[in-house]
Amino acid sequence: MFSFLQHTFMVYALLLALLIALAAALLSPFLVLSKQSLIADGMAHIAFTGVVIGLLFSNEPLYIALPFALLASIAITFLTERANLDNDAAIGVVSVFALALGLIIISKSDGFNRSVESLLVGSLLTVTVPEIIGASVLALLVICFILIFYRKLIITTFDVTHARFAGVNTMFLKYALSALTSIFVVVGVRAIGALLISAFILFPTLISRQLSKSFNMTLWGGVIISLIATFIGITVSYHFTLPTGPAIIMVFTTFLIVAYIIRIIIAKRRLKDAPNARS
Amino acid sequence: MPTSSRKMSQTSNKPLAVKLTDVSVNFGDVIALKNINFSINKGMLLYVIGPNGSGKTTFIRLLAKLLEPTHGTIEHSDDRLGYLPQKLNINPNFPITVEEVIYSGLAKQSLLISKGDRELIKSWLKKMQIPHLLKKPMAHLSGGQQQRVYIIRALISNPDFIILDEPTSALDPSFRSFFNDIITALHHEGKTIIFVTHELHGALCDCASVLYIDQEIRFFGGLQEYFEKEKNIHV
Repeated sequence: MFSFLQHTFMVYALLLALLIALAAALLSPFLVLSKQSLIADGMAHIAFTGVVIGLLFSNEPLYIALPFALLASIAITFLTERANLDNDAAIGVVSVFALALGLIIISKSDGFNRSVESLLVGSLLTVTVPEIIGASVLALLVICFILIFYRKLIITTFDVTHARFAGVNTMFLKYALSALTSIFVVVGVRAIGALLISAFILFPTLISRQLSKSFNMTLWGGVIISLIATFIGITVSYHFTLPTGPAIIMVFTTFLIVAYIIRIIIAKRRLKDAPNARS
Repeated sequence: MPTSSRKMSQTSNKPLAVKLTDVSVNFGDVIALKNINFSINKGMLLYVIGPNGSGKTTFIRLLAKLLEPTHGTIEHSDDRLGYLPQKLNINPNFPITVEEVIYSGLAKQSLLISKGDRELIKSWLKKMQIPHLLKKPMAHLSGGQQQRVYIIRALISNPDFIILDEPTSALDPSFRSFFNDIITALHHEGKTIIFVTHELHGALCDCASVLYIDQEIRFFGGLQEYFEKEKNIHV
C-alpha cells in the first residue's frame, strides 16, 4: 500500500501536501466560521496573476507572487473594514480584478500556456526541495500564530463585539489571518492548483463541525481529518493513476458526506431517546 | 432637564467612574447623541431609559469603550469593565461550548483552561442554576440559558463597572428575580451598575438613579423623582 513512498518525488509530494494541509486546517475555522470561506478562492485568483507576473520577470515567480498576494490581502481587509464592503464582495472585487489583469497579461505575452495549465490544476508530483522548505516555514508560522493568539482568535471569530470590548486588536488579527492565507495560497498554488487550493481551507472545518461540539474539537478534529484525507488522496492517486489534487478533494468530499450522514443519524437517535429520557 | 457633570461632582463625594464632556455622536447625517455632559460616580446604580432609537445603546457603547464620540471627551477610570450587550451578533450554529464562551470573559486566558479557572466557571454555572451545561454546545441551549451564559461571561472577571443592556429580556420571570438579587448584591459590594431597561417598576432599589435619554439628557435624578415627573418628561 505504501510502495509509492519508494519514489522520492512521491515523498516530496506527500510532505508538501501534508504541510499545506496542516497550515490550511489550522487557519480553516477562523476563516470559515467568520464567513470568510471565499478568501482562499479569491486569493488563488490573485496568486495566479501574481505567478503570471512573476514568470514575466524570473524563473522563480514566488518572489513576485508573494508580495502581490500580500498586498491584495491587505486590500481585501481594508475594503472590508474601511469601505464598508461585505467580506464576500471585497474578496470578489479584488480577485476578479487580479484575475482579469492576469488574463490580459497572458493574452499579450507568448509562451504562458504550459505554465497556466499547471497553475490551474497543480503539479504535486514536480515538487522541489525549496517548495518543501517554503511550506515548512508557512506551517511553522501558522502554528506559532495560532498558539500565540488562540484564545483571542476564538473570541474574535465567535463574537467580535466582545473581542473589541475585551481589548483584543481584532483589526491586527484580521490582517494577519488574511496575510497568512495569502502566503498559504501562494506556497500551495503551484502544487495543488488555483482551482482547488481553497478546498484545503473549506473542508476541514465543514467536516469536523458536523460532529464536534466545541471549538477545540472543530479545530483539532479538522487538522486530523485534513491530514488523513490528504494522505489517502495521495495514496489513491498513485495506485489508480489519478491527478493528485483532485483525488484529495474527492476524499475530502467523501469524508464530508459520511460526517453529514453520521450527524443526521446521531440527531435522529437523540430525538428518539429524548421522550424515553423524560419518562 | 439636563444635569451637568459639574453638578453631579458637586453633589457627591464619591470618585468618578466615567465623565462625559460635551459628547456628541453622529452616524453620517444621523445624530445619535448630542451635548451629553454627565458623570457616573463609583458605586452608582443607574437605570438608563428612553424610547427606541433614543441613543441608549450608543450611550452604553461609549461607556464600554466600543465607540469614540464624534465630538467631546470621555474620561474613564481604571475600573475593570463587565458588559452584557443587548444584541449578540453571533452565528447561532457556531461550534463552541458553554465553558469556552464563559472562559472568554476572563481577563487572563491561556491556551488550556486551568483547573482553577474551570472551578470558577463551574461555581458561576451553579450560581446561575445551570451547572449541567458546562460542556454543552451553545447551539443546543434555549434563549434563556444562553442569556445566563452571557451574564456569567460579563460578570466572571469580577468587574467594578458593570454595564447591562436589557439583561433580563430573555430570562423567565422566576430567574429574573433571582438575577436581580445577584445584581443587588453586587451593588451592595460597591460595584457600579449601569442597567438599560424599558421597565422601571421592578427596579432593584429606591437608591437607584435614572437617566432618561432621547438624543440628549431629558432627565437625571432619583427613582421616586422620576416617577413623579414621568408624564412631563415623556411630553
